[in-house]
Amino acid sequence: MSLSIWDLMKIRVAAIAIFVLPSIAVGSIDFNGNGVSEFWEFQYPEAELSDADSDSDGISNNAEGIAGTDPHDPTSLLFLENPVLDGEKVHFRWSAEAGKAYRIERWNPLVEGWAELASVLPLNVAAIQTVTVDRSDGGIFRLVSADIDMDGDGLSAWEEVLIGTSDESAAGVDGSGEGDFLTALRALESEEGVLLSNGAKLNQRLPNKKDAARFLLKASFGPTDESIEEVMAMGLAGWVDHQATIPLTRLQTSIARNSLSINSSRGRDGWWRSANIAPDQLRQRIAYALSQILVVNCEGGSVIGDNYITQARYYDIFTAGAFGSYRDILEKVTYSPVMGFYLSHLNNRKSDDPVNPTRFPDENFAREIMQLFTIGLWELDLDGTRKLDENGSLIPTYDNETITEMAKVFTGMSHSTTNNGRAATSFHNVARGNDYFYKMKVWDEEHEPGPKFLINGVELDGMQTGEEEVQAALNALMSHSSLPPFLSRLLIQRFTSSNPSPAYLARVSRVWGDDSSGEVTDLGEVIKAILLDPEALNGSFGNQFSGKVREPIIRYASLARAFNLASESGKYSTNQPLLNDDFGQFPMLSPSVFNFYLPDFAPEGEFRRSGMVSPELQLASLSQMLRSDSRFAASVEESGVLGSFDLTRELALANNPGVLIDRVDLLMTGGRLRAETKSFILNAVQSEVTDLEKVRTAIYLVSQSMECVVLN
Amino acid sequence: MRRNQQYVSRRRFLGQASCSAIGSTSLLSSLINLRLTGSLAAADTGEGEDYKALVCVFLAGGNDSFNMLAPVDSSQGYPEYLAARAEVALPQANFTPIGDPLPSPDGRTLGLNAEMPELKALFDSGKASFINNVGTLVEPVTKLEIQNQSAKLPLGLYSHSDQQLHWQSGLPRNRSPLNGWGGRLAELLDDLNGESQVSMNISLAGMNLFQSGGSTSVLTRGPANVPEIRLWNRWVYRHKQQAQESILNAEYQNAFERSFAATKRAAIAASAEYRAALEAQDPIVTEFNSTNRLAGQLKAVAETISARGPLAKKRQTFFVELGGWDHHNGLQDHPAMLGQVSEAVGQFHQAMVDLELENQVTLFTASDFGRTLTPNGNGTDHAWGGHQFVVGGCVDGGKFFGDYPSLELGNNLDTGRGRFIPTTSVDQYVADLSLWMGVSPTNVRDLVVPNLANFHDVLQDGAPLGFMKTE
Repeated sequence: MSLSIWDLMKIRVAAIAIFVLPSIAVGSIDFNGNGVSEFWEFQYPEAELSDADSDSDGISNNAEGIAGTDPHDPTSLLFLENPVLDGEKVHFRWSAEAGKAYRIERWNPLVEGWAELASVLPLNVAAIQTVTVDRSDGGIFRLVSADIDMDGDGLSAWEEVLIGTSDESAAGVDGSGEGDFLTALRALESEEGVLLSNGAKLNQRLPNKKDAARFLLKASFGPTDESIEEVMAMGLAGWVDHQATIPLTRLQTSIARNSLSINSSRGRDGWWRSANIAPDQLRQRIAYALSQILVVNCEGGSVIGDNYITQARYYDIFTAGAFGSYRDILEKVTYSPVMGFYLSHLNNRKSDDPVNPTRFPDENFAREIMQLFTIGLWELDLDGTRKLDENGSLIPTYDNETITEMAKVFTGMSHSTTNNGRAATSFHNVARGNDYFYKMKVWDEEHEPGPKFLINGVELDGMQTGEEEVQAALNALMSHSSLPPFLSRLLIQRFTSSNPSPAYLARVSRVWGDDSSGEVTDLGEVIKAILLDPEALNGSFGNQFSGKVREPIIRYASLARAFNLASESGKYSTNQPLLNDDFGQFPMLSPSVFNFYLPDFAPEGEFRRSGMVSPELQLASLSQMLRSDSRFAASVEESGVLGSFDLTRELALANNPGVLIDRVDLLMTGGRLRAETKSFILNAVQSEVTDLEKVRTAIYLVSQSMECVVLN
Repeated sequence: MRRNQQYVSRRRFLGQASCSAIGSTSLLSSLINLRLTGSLAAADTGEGEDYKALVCVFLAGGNDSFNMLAPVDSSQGYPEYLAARAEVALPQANFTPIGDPLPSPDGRTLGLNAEMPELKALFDSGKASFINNVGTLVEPVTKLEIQNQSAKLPLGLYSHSDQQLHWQSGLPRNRSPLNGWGGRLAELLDDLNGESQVSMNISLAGMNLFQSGGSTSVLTRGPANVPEIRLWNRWVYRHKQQAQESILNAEYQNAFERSFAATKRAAIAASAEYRAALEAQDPIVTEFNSTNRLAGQLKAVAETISARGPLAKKRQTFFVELGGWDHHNGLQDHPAMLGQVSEAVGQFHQAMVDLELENQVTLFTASDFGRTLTPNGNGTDHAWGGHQFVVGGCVDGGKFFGDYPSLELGNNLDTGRGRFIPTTSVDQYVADLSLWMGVSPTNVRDLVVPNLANFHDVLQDGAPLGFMKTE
């Protein structure tokens, strides 16, 4: 039996971008999310990605983009020679591009789909590839060109070949330093541009206005004209680097500079001031994110709640440590009397009798430092997948035994000063309000003696001091393999995505390194990996669960920043009870140590059914939905208690509503308003009579659009 | 004019409803009957108005209920209590003895924390009962099975987030449950309700798993007035309103956008109807302490119940919550918090009496877990079984249901530090409440609390605990 023209059809290029090898996600620099690498699009900027065929070689530009060939050169194309029949075998030969993966597929008429017969991993240089498959009963065959990301670093093999990195190592040649995706991004954003291995030169590519604004929605409390210019000039990577070098704005400083009368909301007003005008915006966002992990509630009516300096000193662990090591932050939090007060390990005493105790060490902090601050309840793989035992059950990271043992470690912790700053002489010294400024001390007189069996199999022999034991416990937690994926997920959820893919989570987790080796993780590097990841920067590939709902307080801060709230008085006031009631959140006022929302809150309906989460939607009560809308409306319509907006730049555009809306769109959504939404808003704006009402209507309605509510 | 006047007078004429579920038929056949007749006419059967509501009072953080209800007899109960609780033991005089002594051979007398006089009065008048040592379980377990790790246990024992989840889902082996038992219950009952944008499940304390996940949604609101969007439906707002409605009705590819738009759309619609329904009612005459946070929520519940007519409700669930029970220290504040609960519950019950609905509304408590009998200083840590109470005209009141454990440390329920294995499962507790709401035994077993069969055969033996009156 021989093959006829009917049972063998050559399809020279088929447009399938996803290579379906299990557990290998495709990476790519693809900011516009059209499935074609920007390395190709920037090489051939004038080639329109469509069915057009610029070089008339029979392959459309679109297909050449996927195959990585030159759309202007008729000799550059993915070319499959006539297959050679050899008994029961069929030999295929084609011109393979360096870095592209290929599949031979056969049409299966029974299921009306293509079935893979053979796959070929990328070569480092362009070459002729040959593959032999069983002839079987013949059929319709095709060759598929596809991208693959074998090292999971977010760059496809094709891109790595072009830029000279390796697709066998996620970061550099020796696996150290920044990831390859970031290397490529930096090269693209550098003044020199990039010289590709195929000889093509890509010019410097800096973010445009929308790219910059969209990025700032995630990396700051909201874009402003000035910060957009900054990002456009520095590039995304350059801006992130630059942010780490800006002098620290402590919450304590903002409180002091915010010359309002002393009252119970000074601490909150200071936070609002930092969110609005602190130049170190990324640092402020990291600090706020950390305050949602290492949670304390500073509601009034307690020794903590009534002292805003005490609260600010706690919060400044995060502002000061935002680009430092997490180990350092964890230690400062452990020793903070604010946390000690909140989770009751302040004045935690040893058991009253080593043999027959009637009083036991307090387990509160011991439990939550594990469950919420470091490793979580379940053993995790690097990519966040929960590990299973041989019976297919989840594996707990610890049991109650571990908690009672860990609780012993955190005994003996009490004030280091007494009576407003004088050195304490005993665990039992009575402290005053300002003594909560200073870190606690481990007093051996009340520290549980004897051996202890800690998390991660660490054993203490009881010969160490209390201080040494606390250090050992923190080290044991930091070296636990669940920590990087557990914390990476929480941080990703605060910045970019409620449902990061395992590949994204793994890329971020890898940055933590292995703390058991003594390597100190730079939290700034973790945040950089979160913000400058293809999954965060690229278009969403039609993934309907991409992105996240913005926190209402951040969306509101974004409005204030975009339109210079309270710019005249230079004072920042939150009228905090109002905001907390309207939004269901305000920093340091979460109702419990579990934050404003749970990381795995799944709204009813399609989210829950799909196993997807949206923490922020836990706030979406009827009351919050309507009250927050009204708060935006009132803020825009009136110069209320929070001050008034400076709308000069917008008023100048009032008689050109389309341009006006574009401007508001840029500042509030990163230019992501859809044409349909714009038309709804345009109708309303045009129906208003006065310039001021036009501007207010535009701002208010954009702030209530789904594109503004959701980050993507 | 008040729209429900006629409605109220007819109910007055008929008198109080009985405590039984609709006749002795299963709910399913009732539903079929109702569907066939095309009306919700159960109120005309001569048994009074067919209305029932469950009010869940969640004490978030883990109520140290061994200081709420403690053995106080001098011969055995109090000495054991004192020995185990040590520094956090309350004086004997801080408990008021209630009820009969526990049945022989036990013989201990239980006392209620003296800060709860309203609850005591309800107990004494037969309107309240206690469910002892109830907690999350998958199946009955012994200490030995736990020690040799052969027991099937709820996931994440002693952890707040997990135990709250399990109390509210009734699915203690699932960390991502799709729905709560209240939501499943509501799904079975919502057919009895008429057309309305306002859900039969109303939470005064934010999103909760308990009510969610069935085909019925959860309406979450604060205790303050039901809000509306500023200037909504006003002439000056009309252009903005049109744009907002277009935005909310548009189709979205992104699930977050879709979900947010749908939630807000539903909120706007529900708010309008809810506000109108409340405005049509006479104000609640019962006094609620406005400084008591729980009372504020329960007042809003009472107001909503009074508006059941315009809201077309025959069955409702409510969720209220009081936090601050995680007393790792500061247990000295605990009695005052119990006092707050007692006051609020007493006022709520009075409101139901004033609305002539005491037989139609049952309030019950739930909490993450009980706490360790042994202290850590002036506080206690997370444990397992704890005591709850139920209040209402249909409660078989003045009684204790479920075993009150011996407080001797190291006993066969003590998994360490006085963390007691529950002797009654949440499933059993829930089953009694569900049956009273009118869910058929089969549906209770199969749909509301699927683990119930591990403890009790509800088809053969009826209500597991029997704390709700059936006549």
